[in-house]
Amino acid sequence: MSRRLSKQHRTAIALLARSILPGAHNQPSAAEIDLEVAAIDRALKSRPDMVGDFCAILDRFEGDAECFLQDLPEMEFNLVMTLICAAYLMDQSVKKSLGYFGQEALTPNRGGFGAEELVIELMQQPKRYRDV
Amino acid sequence: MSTTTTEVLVIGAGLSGAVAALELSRADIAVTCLEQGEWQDPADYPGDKSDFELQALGPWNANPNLRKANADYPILDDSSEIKPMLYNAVGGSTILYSAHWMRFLPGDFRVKTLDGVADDWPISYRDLATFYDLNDIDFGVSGIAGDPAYPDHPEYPLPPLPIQSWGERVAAAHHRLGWHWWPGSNAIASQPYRNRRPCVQRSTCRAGCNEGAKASVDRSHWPEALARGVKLITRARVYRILLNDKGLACAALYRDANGDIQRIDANLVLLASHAIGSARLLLSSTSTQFPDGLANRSGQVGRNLMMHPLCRIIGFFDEPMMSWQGHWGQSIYSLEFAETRPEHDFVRGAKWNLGPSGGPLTAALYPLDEARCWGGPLHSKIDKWLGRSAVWGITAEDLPEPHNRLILDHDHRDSAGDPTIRLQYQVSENSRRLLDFMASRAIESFTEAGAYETSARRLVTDNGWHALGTCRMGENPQTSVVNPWLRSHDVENLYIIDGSVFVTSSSVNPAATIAALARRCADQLIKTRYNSRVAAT
Repeated sequence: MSRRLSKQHRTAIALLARSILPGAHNQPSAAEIDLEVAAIDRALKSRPDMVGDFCAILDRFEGDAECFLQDLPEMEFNLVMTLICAAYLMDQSVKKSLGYFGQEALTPNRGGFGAEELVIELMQQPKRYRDV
Repeated sequence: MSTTTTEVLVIGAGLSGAVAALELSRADIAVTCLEQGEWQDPADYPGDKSDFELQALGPWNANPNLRKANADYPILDDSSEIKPMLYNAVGGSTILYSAHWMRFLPGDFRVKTLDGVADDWPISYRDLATFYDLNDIDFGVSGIAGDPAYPDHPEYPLPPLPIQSWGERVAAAHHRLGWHWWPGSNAIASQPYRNRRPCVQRSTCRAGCNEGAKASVDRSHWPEALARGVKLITRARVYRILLNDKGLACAALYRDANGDIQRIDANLVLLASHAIGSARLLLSSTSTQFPDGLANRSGQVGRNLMMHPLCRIIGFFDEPMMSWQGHWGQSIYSLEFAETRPEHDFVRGAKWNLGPSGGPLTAALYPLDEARCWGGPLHSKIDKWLGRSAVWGITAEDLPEPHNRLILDHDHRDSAGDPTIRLQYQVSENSRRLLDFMASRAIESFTEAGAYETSARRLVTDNGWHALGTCRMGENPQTSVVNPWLRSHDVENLYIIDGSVFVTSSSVNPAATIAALARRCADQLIKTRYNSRVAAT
């Protein structure tokens, strides 16, 4: 990382994250998982290329998260949302609340692909391509 | 600068280059392939890691301008409505593709005759049928034959992948509507196949297949090609093809891993560098004989760029379906609206493919509407999306238009000082009307399937996977770049074997047809032992 998060940056992240992810639908709030600590570090470790731009955006934060988010240029808004949402959604307690445990390796049912009876019916239909 | 020699030089180790190199090597022809990227280690693929979705937006983004990897070259896309998606490595874009494996429809080769638009191809479905069949085996395609939308063909080597619960819902809906659908054909192994393990439905195909189930050609083709003696040189960026005094392609100049210039001499050159990369190389290879670019006496190199405009419709269902899992390839497809109909206000049609909807970060960031979303509405969006939605991706048949093109921008240079390629592309009014119609029909499809809500993006701009047509095929050297055997009209021993030779785009995914064309070309070279002069003659 070319830059590190300062204490002020983490304060800004906490305030932004509380607005972005206040908690609902059985999903915890960003505050409950202390997003501005380990969670955001995990996300930035994954994407060190985003640290510099993220810090530059946070440098301009003055305390009103709602206005700040509304006024951010689109690319900067997307960057903030990407990192804060990723930090949140990679947290184990959040994953558990969603019933989501990552992209898992499953063992598909090898007995059939589904809708076999309908496919057999379709096979009886006349050809529909234009023969040229 | 050192110089090496080879019989056949293939430029590009992606889909078409791998197919041709393997086929030529099976006939004991000496082949060297130059690839600007490197081998990929599947252990690096992010699909089995907790930050998969975040990685897929950055280092594994399919847009090279966002990915900015060492192997990528800059592509100026600010004058293109659709952004390019491709990958530079051994395996090329098959590293990241979804592996939808679709043949063209017979009518796709005859759009002028049937619908009075664009041009007919100088070849037909029948000319490619054998090569489609053969490639199905090499690629280990999963699917089931018998689709009434197609002529009969042999059974696929592997049974279909599971179409998943969302596939069953929509299939039943189409049955009720009387609309076409069929289980997806995918170059993804549903059972152990050759050196590939079966798909585990991780749904991360778009960032490399951790299991090796997907037929990216670094897995499906290059091991055999190398075993048969093909020489593959990575981190070799070709920047010029040279001609001898007979007007034949005789060598290529490339920059190696250290940035040093190297030369390789060859009797025959096969250009397999993607519709953007091949046109770029030809336009860059100017000479007194070809002041407008190699093989470009027609002025058609770079023109007629087609990008397959796409719309995407999300269907939201009440029941949990774990729809973050499942192969990222198609669970089912529909060709109901693939052909021109007199009642439509557009010509040609679209191919629909149904698939899973991604993980929670996709749910959070996907732009369902224009408004910025955070707070309670963001939690609601994640709640309704994750595991309970499915996606129709719908590709429009894009028709060739000369003003949609690639040009060299001499005001912008890459790190080696070469001119940068610029895309100039506008979505046609025909495509816009077509996509509007398709989006409305797809909403009907999901509604019939039981979706309580739908959301449509009627033009997805960050999905330019299928760049095609920039070195079109034809009989007439005045209006086309290569002949029906993919041989350049202007340079007798130069062949262009990638998607740039497409005359029209069909609406289906082009990979199977690119592979079939490359194999047909290689087969012809073997049968005729070139049937043309080569550089050494």
